[in-house]
Amino acid sequence: MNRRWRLTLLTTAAGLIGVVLMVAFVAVINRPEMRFRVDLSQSGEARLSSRTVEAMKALPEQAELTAFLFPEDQTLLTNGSTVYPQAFDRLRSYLEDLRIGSGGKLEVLTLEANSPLVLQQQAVEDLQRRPGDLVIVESGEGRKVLRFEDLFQVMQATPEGRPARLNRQRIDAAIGNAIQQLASGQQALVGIVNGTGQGQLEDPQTLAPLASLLRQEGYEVVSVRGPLEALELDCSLLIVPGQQRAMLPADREAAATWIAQQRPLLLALGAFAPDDAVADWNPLLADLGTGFSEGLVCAPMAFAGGFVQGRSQVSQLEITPEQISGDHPITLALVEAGRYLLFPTTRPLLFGSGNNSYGQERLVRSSRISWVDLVGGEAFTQNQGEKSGIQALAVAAAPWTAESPEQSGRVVVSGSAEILRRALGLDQDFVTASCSWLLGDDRERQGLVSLGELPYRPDQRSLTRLHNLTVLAIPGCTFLVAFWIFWRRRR
Amino acid sequence: MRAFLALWRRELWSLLIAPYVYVLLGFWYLLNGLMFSTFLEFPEIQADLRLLPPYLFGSGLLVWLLLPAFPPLLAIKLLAEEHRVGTLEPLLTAPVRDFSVVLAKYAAVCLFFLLFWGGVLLQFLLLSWHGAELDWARVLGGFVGALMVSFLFLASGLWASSWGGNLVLAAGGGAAINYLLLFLPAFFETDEGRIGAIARACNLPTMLDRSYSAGLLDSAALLYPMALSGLFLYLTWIRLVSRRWVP
Repeated sequence: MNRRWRLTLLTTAAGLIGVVLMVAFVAVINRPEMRFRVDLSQSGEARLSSRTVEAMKALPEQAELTAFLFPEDQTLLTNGSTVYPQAFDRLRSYLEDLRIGSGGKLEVLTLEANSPLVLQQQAVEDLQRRPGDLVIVESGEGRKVLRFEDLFQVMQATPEGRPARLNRQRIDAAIGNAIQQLASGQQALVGIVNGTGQGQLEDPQTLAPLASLLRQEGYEVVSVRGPLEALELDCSLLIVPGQQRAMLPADREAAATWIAQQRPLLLALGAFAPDDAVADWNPLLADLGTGFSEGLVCAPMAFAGGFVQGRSQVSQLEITPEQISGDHPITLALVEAGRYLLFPTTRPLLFGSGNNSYGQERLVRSSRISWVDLVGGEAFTQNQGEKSGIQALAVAAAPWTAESPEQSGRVVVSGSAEILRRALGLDQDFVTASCSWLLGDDRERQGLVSLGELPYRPDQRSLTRLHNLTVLAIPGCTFLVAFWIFWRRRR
Repeated sequence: MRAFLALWRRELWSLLIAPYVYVLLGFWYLLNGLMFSTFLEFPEIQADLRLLPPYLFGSGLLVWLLLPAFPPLLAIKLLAEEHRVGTLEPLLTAPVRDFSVVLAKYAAVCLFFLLFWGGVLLQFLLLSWHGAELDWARVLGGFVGALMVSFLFLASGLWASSWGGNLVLAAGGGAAINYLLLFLPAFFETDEGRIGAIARACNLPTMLDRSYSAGLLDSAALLYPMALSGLFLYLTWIRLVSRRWVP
C-alpha cells in the first residue's frame, strides 16, 4: 500500500471516530432531560408555565400535538395585517419550549403553509381538522382541539381600513388546560336527546353532524331517550336538539330534577316545535328568567334596494356581529372575530324575568326590523297585531353562585333547533363555545397576556437616511478601505 | 502559548491587510444593508420590531444564501493559500504544535468575522439611534446565534482549506459542506423515525429562528454548532498531522 492510500485510510478512520463521537454527543445534548432553555427576551410572554410542565408529566401516555400554522382567515390578512406573523412567531417559540419541557412525553408536529402538501393533507385527514383549528392535542383516546381564537385575541379590521391587530394571547393557559384535561382523563359525557323525534345519532340528515362535531371537540357523545336516561348515565351535559313531541311524564320529571340539580343544559326548540313540548320546558325555565314564546321570528330580506316580505327566506335570520352579545364568554370570540350566524325558523325567547338567583344574557338577538309571525294572517308577512322589534333568539342563564363545576346550573336556550342541524356548519363556533361554557371551560379562560409590540413607523426622511447609511455609507467605506490597502500594498 | 499568540497575530494581520477580504466585507455589508432597508418597509416589521431579528439573524435569506458562502472564501487564505505558495511545510516544521497552528488560524478568522456580523449589529444601533425601541435580548441573541453558525462554517471552511492548494476546491468544498449542513436537515426534518429526529436536532435555521433570535438560550442550540466546529477543527488537525504519522 503506497503512502497516499495509507494516509487516506488513516485520516478517514480518525475522521470516522470523530464523527461517531459527534453523533453520540448530539444525541445526548438533544435528550429532553439534558436540555434547558432560558428566556432572555424583553417580553417573556409566551413561555411554558410550571403548571403546564406538571400537566405534561401527569400524561398517562405519549401525547401528540399538531399545530397547523395556516393563515386562513382572510379578514386577518387584509390591509397589511400582521396578526398571523406575530401570532405564529410566538406559537413557534412556545411549541419548541413545550417539546423540550415535555421530557419526551409530547411529540410536537408544526405544519406551516410551506410544509410538504402530502404531509399537510395527511395530517388534516388523520386528525379530521376543520378550517380554523390551530392546535390539536391527542393522548390515547382523548383529544382537544384549540382554535385560533382560543389562543389569541384579535382586534378586527375596520371598514375605514385599519388592519386587524393582535391584542392578547393565552397560549400557555389554553394548551396547559388542554393537556391538563387529557392528563386527568376527564372526558365530558354529553347526552343528546333522541327520544322525542330528533332522529338518530348516526343519521347524517339529523344528529350525526352534531355528534361528530362534539367528538372532534374531545367530548364523549351518547344518545339518550330523554333526561331520565341522561340522569341515569350521569351525563355532564344534556343537549335537546329540537323536539317533535312532548316528553313522557318520567322524562318531564327527570328534566325538572336535572334543572333543580343545576346540571348544564343546551335546549333548542324551534318555531315548529309542538306546544306540548314548549309546555314541558317553560315552567322549568321560568325561574331561570327565560322560556319560549309564540311565533316565528322573521326579518325582511334586503333585495334590490328595498326590503322584501312574503317569502319563506325571511325566516332564515342572518345574524350580524352587531346582533351578538360581546359581553358573554360564549359569544365574545365570535364578536371579536366578526362572525355571522344563521338562525333558521326561530321562535322568540322570553328574557329577563326570573327569581333573581339567576343572571341572564341575551346571546343573540334579531334585528330592529324583525317581527314575530303568528299563525293566521298572511304567512311570512308582517300583519297587523304582530309585534315587531328586537327579539331574543338565544339566551344563557347561570346562577350567581354555582354549587360545583359539575353542577354549574348553566343553561343555554336557543329559539332555533336548526343551529344544531341544518345550520350547524355556519353555527358550529356558537355551538362549541356554548358547550364549552356549559361545561365550565370559561373558568379556565384566565391567562390572557397582553402582547407588547414594538411598533416603528419611521417617516420617509428617516427611512432614506437609514437606507443611505446601511446601503451606501457602510459598504462604501469598506470598499474605500479595500482600495486604500490595495493602493498602499502596491506602493 | 507564545507561539500560538504569535501565529494568531500573524494570521489576523494577514487578514487585516488583505484587500480582497474588505471587498468581501463590502459586498456583505451591501447585501445586508439592502435587505435591512427592504425589511424596514415591511408592514409586519413596522408593526412589531421584534420580528426583525429573525429576518436578519434567523432563517432569512441571509442565512440561507449568503452565510454558507462567505466564511469559506475567508478560510481559503488560511491553509489552501499557504499550501499553494509553499509556506505550509515550513510552518508545520516550525517548533509549534500542529493543533496550535489550526487553533491560531481559526481564532484569527473568527475574530475577524466579528466584523461581518458587527456591521449588522451596527444597523440595529443605527435603528435605535433613529428612535426605534428594540428588544435587545432578541437582537443580541440573534447576533450570538449568527456568530455561532458562522464559526461553524468557518471551521468547515478551514477543513476544506486543508485539502490542498486548489483555492477553488477549498472555497467550493467549504461552501458545499455548509449548504449541506443547512439543507439536508431541512429536507429530512418532516420524516418520521430516527432520520427525522436527527434532522430536527441538526436544523440550524430552526435553532436561529426559534431559539437565538427569539431571545431564548437553548443548550442544544448552543452546544451543537460548538461541537460540530470542534469536529471540523479535529478533522483539519488530522489532515495536517497525518502527514507525519505516515512516513
